[in-house]
Amino acid sequence: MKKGFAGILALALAIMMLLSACGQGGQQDSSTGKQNGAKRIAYYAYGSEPYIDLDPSVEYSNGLIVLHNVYETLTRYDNKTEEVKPLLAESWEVDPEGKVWLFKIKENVKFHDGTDLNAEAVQKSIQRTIDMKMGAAFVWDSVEEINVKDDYTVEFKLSYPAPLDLIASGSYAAFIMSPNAVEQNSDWFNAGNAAGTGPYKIQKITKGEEVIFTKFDEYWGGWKDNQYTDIIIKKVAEGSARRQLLEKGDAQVATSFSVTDLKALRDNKSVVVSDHETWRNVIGFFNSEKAPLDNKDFRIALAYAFPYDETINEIKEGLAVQSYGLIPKGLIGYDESLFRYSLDMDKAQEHLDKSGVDTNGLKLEMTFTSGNEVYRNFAQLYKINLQKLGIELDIREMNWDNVWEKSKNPKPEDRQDMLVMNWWPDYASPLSWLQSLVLSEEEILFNLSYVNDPALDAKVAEIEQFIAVDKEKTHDLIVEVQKKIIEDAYFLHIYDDMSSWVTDVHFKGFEPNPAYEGVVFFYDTYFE
Amino acid sequence: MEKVSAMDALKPRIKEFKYSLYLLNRNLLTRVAFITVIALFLIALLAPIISPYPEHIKDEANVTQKLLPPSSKHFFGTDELGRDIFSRVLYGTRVSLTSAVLSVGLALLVGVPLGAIAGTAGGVVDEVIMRITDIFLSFPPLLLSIAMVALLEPSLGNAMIAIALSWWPWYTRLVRGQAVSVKERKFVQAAETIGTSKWKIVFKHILPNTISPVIVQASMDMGGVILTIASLSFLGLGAQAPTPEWGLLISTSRNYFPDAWWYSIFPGLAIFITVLVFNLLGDGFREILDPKTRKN
Amino acid sequence: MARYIVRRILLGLIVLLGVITITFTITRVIPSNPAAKWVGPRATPEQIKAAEEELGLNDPLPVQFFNYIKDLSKGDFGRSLRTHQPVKDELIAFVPPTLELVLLAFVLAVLIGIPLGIYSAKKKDKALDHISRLFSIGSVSLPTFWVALIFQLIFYRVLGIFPLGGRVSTETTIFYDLPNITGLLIFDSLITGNWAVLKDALWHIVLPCITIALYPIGLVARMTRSALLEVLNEDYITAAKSYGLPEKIVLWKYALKNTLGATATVLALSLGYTLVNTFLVETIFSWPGLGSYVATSVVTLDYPSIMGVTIFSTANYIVLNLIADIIIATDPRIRL
Repeated sequence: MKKGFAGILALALAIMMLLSACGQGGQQDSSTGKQNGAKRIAYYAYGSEPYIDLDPSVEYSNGLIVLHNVYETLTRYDNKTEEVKPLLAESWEVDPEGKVWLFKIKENVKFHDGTDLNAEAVQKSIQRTIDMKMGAAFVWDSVEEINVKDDYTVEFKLSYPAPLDLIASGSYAAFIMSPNAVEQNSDWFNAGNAAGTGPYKIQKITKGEEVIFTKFDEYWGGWKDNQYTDIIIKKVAEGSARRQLLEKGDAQVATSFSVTDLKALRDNKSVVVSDHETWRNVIGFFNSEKAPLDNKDFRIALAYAFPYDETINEIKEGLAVQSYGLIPKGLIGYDESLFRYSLDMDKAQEHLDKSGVDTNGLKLEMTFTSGNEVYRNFAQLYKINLQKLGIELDIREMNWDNVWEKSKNPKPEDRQDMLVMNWWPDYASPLSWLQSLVLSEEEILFNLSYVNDPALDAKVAEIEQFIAVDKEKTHDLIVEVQKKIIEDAYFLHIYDDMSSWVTDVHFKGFEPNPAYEGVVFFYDTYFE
Repeated sequence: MEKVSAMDALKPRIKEFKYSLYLLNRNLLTRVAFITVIALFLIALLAPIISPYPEHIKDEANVTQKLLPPSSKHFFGTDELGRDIFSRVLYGTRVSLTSAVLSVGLALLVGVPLGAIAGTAGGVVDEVIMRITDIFLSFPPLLLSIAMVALLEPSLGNAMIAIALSWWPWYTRLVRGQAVSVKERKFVQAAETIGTSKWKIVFKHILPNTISPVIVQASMDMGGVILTIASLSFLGLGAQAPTPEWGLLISTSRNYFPDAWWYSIFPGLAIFITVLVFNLLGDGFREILDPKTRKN
Repeated sequence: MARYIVRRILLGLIVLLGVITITFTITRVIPSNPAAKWVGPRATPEQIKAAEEELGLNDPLPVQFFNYIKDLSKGDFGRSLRTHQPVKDELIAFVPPTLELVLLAFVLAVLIGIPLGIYSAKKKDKALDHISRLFSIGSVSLPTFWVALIFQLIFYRVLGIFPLGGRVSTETTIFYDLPNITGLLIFDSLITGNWAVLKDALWHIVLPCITIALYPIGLVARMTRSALLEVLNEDYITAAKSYGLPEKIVLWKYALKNTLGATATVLALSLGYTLVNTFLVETIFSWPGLGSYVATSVVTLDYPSIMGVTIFSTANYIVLNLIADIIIATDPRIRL
């Protein structure tokens, strides 16, 4: 018996050794990025599922990284010049009121299924998205009707002024698809079918795992020799695995690394690490309808007690910038002259005394979506600071659903005291922050500080009117709004996030664009 | 009068108990486990005194000292906010033991009376109660708890409720089985014939007789419950930061893994040792209480 | 016997219905906004209204429950709120990887657990029995999610002999077409003779498989030991021994045979537990199975998916229990 058991152990051990040996052997002849026959492959190691729903009218999640390579939009936002540039639309014009928009569509553009792009295809695509009422379809809410003027002209009639050139450049819900695809339902798209005008066609999908593209030979932009012909976007959940793929030269591009991984990668000669600003910022919302947070001085005291520097320098390791109000850098209304609260316990105590709030036994609840390490860490530091003011902070990590439902409770006193979440724009415009977070709401959605100030509402309405026509005036108005909300301390303006991208040294031409977060426009990249 | 007779009735049981203790002590592994369990309870009790940095539980952090490897200053290294992991692991003993005792207690509170009722009443009542326990037992272990806490708000309290909810049916089954067998015994039947009410019998005769197997079962379940709490916290469905719960510590450590290996290793070892000694003790109990093995 | 089995199956169905009712009630009672989730992260009231109509969320709860049961009886688990895909299709995609892992873990459990148990019983109360007892109790005391991390640390980080996670390496997905017949990758590559994929798949399954196998190994070893001890004390074994039959024959031919029922029962019962254990391990090893799926569903409160997984796992568990009960019923020697 003794022998038998030892034998089994030995056998198991032998199998393990053998397996590990052949596993290593099996790795050798692999190298993407270089020419492989007629193919040149780029591999994007992505930290999560590459898409949730492949229907371009529906997807409102990670899928933009896939869709923007397969489909195109009428316009595209250029973050370098801070302007909207033509893409499928050659040019456009707007009436002085900002309510009638005419788009001239590019000619000689083919969809993957061979049909031609024309005004009708544009009209049908946008109409499909609007009618399905899914995902980010609401960005088109201002649109009353879409008319085909002639073969290559589309007219949008709006019920109220809106920056349609920006909306048409949106990261979601603005994709143009072939008239044949418009007829299909979501299941058709999710089976791996697609018919856009983009430079790449979907070749293979594995749900939740990967998408493989191959180049669309008849792409209107034409092809050069050193561009990538085949693209793999694959979920590689573990940061260390993404790092290893880059180090071995298997992956060309990846993002979302831990600080330690980044440190190691920065020392590596075969990859390039670059840090970029994003339009995603992290905001704390004070429940201004509930005592004692309805007291302005009390809120100011709380704003002074937040560990801004520690959050940015230690928790984020410098990969973030303390926010100037709501609007991040690169959008109208961003202004570095705006006041920023800093950690100052004396001032906090001062304002606390001024507020007259009795902190004896005071317990405040802070909610946010569970699993966010950064939030969890700054919340713990904040808790320590507030303890010094005699306030106990109860940190509650929950599902987003629980967080959100609680914040929408009809009774303000049954809601949370503070809530943390991040915000990003649906298209390259500051309107999203103002309309969603500041404008008073009849039915609570995202104005989770419950700001309800008619003067601010009037200002936001004015901004909506001027944004498409007068940039300077818009800027001044947005700064005024922010001054007011900072003065009243409705929010904790914690930080504007940054992202670090790591690319292979041979993978050139990639510039992250904050308007399309996470997207690699592979057509712009090339091997060198 | 009554008291004396109760003492008399207890005497053989005390003798039995002493014999059990003797048997327990005879097995080296069980003895070590027994001592360790006592030590763990002591650590839980004395955590504020014996941990080098009690302020690192929730009152203080030092981000400049973050993620330091183990040293003579910090035996288990420091975490992402520069807190002493050794102190937090020690306090974790308190969190785990308390929540395990409470969960098991809650499960007993629900399970034992239901079992006694089912066993005593019989008939339709018995059938209904036992089918309900069947339903609860048909959920794969942990899955019911996961679903429950995911749907409630995650917190240590809700995790304990969820665990109790999936654990009580075991006690119901156990107590019912005991009750049914006790019911057949002479003295109960005698009580019944002289007209003692059914429920008086339950409380006076049946429940006391079922108590010792229930206690044994409960102590054996401690290990499993601690493991489940840690698993729920690991999934983000249990304790909330900055509670130094072991499962939560490991879950947090994943963000710094594998570079800060110490952050994952020590809380895991703490779980392992604690669950192990409870299981060893439980196994020892089972062995000495099993009439088959008890004979020799 | 047949009547007993029929009765048990009927009871199983009733229990399953009870489980469905409980999960359905819990998922509908909690505060959440399924219609908003269906639409997307920033649903407007108008979009939500349209989605509520589409999903039939305006019907009274009993009607919704009735519809759910009706669909379920046709094999329709509804659609995931997150991905908008039929839950059935997602289960079909995610069950095979988990099944592959669990089945292999059980092969390991039998190969290691039974010999360990026999050995332990033979040397009862000797040092080696203590060690084996410590090992088997230890293996059920380990937090599996932690073991997974430690394995990664040792075998990936320090020794570098096994991969960090995934089902196959990235190179394999790029350069080979993965066979997909049953969804069990190892089996599929074996029958299609795709050796490169097979090698890679085996190489990837080692660590998660051992992690998951630890629990059933300990259980099987304990069960074999105690069942064997019990049998060895029986009169007929003592008799056989006293007749001078060689120990080996007594052990293998008489004793061990009689413990198989008990071991099979424990295996069947622990399969349910193992299934849930894989939930904790899969996310760590990035294994694209049911566990990763349910983890995402739980985080996003995607209740059609949560219900799908719960019903699937519970049905499995009930069937396995049934099998265990039938084994017990047919083999009067087994007392659990």
